[in-house]
Amino acid sequence: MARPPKSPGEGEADGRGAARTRGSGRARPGGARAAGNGTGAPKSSAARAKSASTAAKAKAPVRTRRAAATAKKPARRKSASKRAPTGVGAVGTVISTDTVAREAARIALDAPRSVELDQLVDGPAMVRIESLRAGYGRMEVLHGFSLAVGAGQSLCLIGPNGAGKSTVLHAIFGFADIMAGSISVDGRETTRLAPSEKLKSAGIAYVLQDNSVFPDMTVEENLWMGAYLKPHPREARLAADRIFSRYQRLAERRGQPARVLSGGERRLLEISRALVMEPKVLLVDEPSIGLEPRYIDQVFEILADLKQAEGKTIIMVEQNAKKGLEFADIGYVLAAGELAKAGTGAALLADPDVGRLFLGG
Amino acid sequence: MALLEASGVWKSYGGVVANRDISLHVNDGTIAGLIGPNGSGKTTFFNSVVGSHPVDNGSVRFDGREITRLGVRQIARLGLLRTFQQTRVYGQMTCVQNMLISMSERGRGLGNLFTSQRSAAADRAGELLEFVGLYPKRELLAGELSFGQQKLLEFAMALMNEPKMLMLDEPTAGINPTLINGLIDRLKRANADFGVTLFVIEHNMRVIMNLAERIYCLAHGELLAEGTPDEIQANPLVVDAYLGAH
Amino acid sequence: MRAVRIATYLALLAAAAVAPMFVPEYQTQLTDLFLFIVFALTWDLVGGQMGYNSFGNVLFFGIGMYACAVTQVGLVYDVGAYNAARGGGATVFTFDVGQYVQGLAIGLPAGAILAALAAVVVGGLVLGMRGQYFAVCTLGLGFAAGEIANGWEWLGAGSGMVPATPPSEMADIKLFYYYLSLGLAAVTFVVLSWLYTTRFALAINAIRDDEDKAEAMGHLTTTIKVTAWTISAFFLGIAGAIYGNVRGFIDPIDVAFPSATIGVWMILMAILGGKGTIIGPVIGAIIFQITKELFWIYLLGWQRVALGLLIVLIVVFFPQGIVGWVRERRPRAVSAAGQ
Repeated sequence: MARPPKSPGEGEADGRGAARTRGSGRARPGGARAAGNGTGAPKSSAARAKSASTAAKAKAPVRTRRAAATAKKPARRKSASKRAPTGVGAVGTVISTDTVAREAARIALDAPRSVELDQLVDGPAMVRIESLRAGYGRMEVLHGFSLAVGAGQSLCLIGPNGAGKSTVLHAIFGFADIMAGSISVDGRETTRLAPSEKLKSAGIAYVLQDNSVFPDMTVEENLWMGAYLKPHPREARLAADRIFSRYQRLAERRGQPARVLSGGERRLLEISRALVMEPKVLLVDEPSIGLEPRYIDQVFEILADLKQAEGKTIIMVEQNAKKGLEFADIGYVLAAGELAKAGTGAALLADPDVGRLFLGG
Repeated sequence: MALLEASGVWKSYGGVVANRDISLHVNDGTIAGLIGPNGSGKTTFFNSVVGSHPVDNGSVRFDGREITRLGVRQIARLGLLRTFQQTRVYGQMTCVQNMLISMSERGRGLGNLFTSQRSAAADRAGELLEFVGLYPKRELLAGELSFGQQKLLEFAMALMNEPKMLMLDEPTAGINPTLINGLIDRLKRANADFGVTLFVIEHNMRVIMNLAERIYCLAHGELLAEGTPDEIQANPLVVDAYLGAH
Repeated sequence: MRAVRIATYLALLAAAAVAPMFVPEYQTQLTDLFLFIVFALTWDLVGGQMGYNSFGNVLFFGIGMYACAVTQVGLVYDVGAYNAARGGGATVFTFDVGQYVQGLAIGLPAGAILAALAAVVVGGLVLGMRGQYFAVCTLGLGFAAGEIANGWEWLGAGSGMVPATPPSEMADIKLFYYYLSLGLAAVTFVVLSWLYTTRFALAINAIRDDEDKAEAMGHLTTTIKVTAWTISAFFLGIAGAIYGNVRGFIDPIDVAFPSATIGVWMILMAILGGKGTIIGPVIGAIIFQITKELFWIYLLGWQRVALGLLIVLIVVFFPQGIVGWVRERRPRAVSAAGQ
């Protein structure tokens, strides 16, 4: 199919010469917000326009007003929405995925070398990845990715969708195909180990992104399954009891089938199940996805506890990037299969480029 | 004018009351939000509305019609679409094919299917794919995309269908925050320019507070509170049951 | 690329057209092969493209076969008497050229239409089921088809039925059926190739990939499913009609799934070649037919064992089929549905 003209919503002057359908790239007709100066007037007129009885009536006045609006900068538009309550955060910075990809590629040219990555690490590296090329079948997703994280540290991977963040976790655990490079845990080369070996002897556990509880088994049975590789069922039961004494919420539901658990409880079960084998390294794929705000706090508290009290090394992917970077010691920005930027969590949070391109402004 | 009107909807699953006497409405051309703790019955309510399962009691009206007893297909053809919490796309078909088969079927019979795949819709499909950043991946199988990309594809497919009302179940979960801004922008434009009414389940407060004009809060299967974003955020019941310190 | 493909198809068609002059000893096998291609293609429409694994397509094959034969005979004689009198009756049932041609000209469409109607009726009842329930239900259809054919006296019951004997003036009737089968295979291939460029193909693929999603997007899934099965049955009915005449004898065993012939072969061929592609069933039919003939020639006495083993091997070790296997190794080309 022919490459479509830039859709009207992408009003940035990117100098690529792509056909623009309306305007000179400055004004954004049909944009979501009216005048960019954030006064109260656009809101009430928009609200008035919306309550008009027909959509057609509502369209015309709103559109002309928007067509007349001038954006502050061609590259992006930022306007404080007056509709949202205070303290919630704005959604004004709209940047196309193309622009993000291009700017990320530019940033990636200055990507840190292994030496700089090691500087972020406390002590010897617990998990080290060297120049990894990995993917699925013949599709290579990661192109020469390196990583280092120390024992008891936490590392958060952020970046656009499809950048390969989950693939890093998959590769460490053995769910992705590794074409080149090496992975080592606690000094031991684990690149080609089977997942069951990783769990059993290398001490790596994986909490998947998707719903992965066994729905027809009880909560207790799910935990026992987490301990499947333990030599004796008795040990599995002891491990499960330890979890129950710690997390009251799960204990209340121990005999119920896992499918009745709500999202937060399910996530809690998934994390607990991974802890049963007492791993040294915990790989968590989107810990807070689909959780209500209070559960998000709870999950991060649990993870913090694991890090501080039990010294577990945690590598996580988190699209709630602000939360992830607040929690993590180290942050890596991944884009298009390559490392674009790395630093402490706090440093990345403070970085304006990172904020604009990957954190929503 | 209420486009969607639910009155006294009840639904139980295996002894547990998932939806208890829920009555709410969404006016034509507006954006409404549905929030609440995990397990409060939000997705079940969506399922009740679109006919995925029969309701035990109560009535649902869409565009003036009683749809309580109608099936999923009929309701979708009336222009009421939904997206899924566990993203659903056609895994063995390419992104482009996913888009082409999502064209609106309203008012068209079976015969319309016997037309070429490469039709006028191809341009629109390309534009929507470009918007969600999937244009370079348009010939990949949908099943090969990452989770977040599949979610974006499902979103694009829903827009492709030009529904009258779109019910979105956690559309931004797992989506990069910068792209979330773009999605919200697109949703608002679909609403403003094309009059698509939106009803959105969300846990991301930044999203729902910036998007919705009216918010309903469920808890334990019941409607706990309703109001504007300001009102909801200030409502002590909602803070207690759901928002917490946020 | 497309031009190359079309040129290849035309070359193959030309080769098939002149084959009887060069390799007349293989004429019967080739005739069978062309019909097998139709069996595989029509099964794949419902099984591979739509994901509804039907074990009962043999029902439509049988209806086509019997309907045509009955029409051919029935236009001239009383069918019941004809079947009752086989091999030993006083009357000799002959057909002159005009009767024979007329019988065939009406019989073939009759087979197609009756098979299609059966699909509409049965489909309406059975296509509400999904997955394994659908498969098992169609298995029952296969059994039922066999039992009906075996027990219905008017159709000849267990002894089968002899289709109308061609008059002696039509000497080279075998060659005629060769070209008729080739024509049917070519037409079926072309029609399905076209079908796989329409949105209907996208719809049935969507039903295969996620039927709940397709329903949630408003597709008339039941109507689409029945339509696909009806198209499949239509061509399968014609193939059955021709098959009966080519064989010269209609055996109720062929109509029933459990006897491990055509009913299961059609599934095998589609899987072997590659489910869900237009060229897969054709390749599968060719390889299967060649292998089967080789088994019959060189492993006589053990040919069914060998064939059974082959079936197991295909399903266990090669489920993606030849086309699937090739695709895994070559970079993915831009593809339309059904490629």
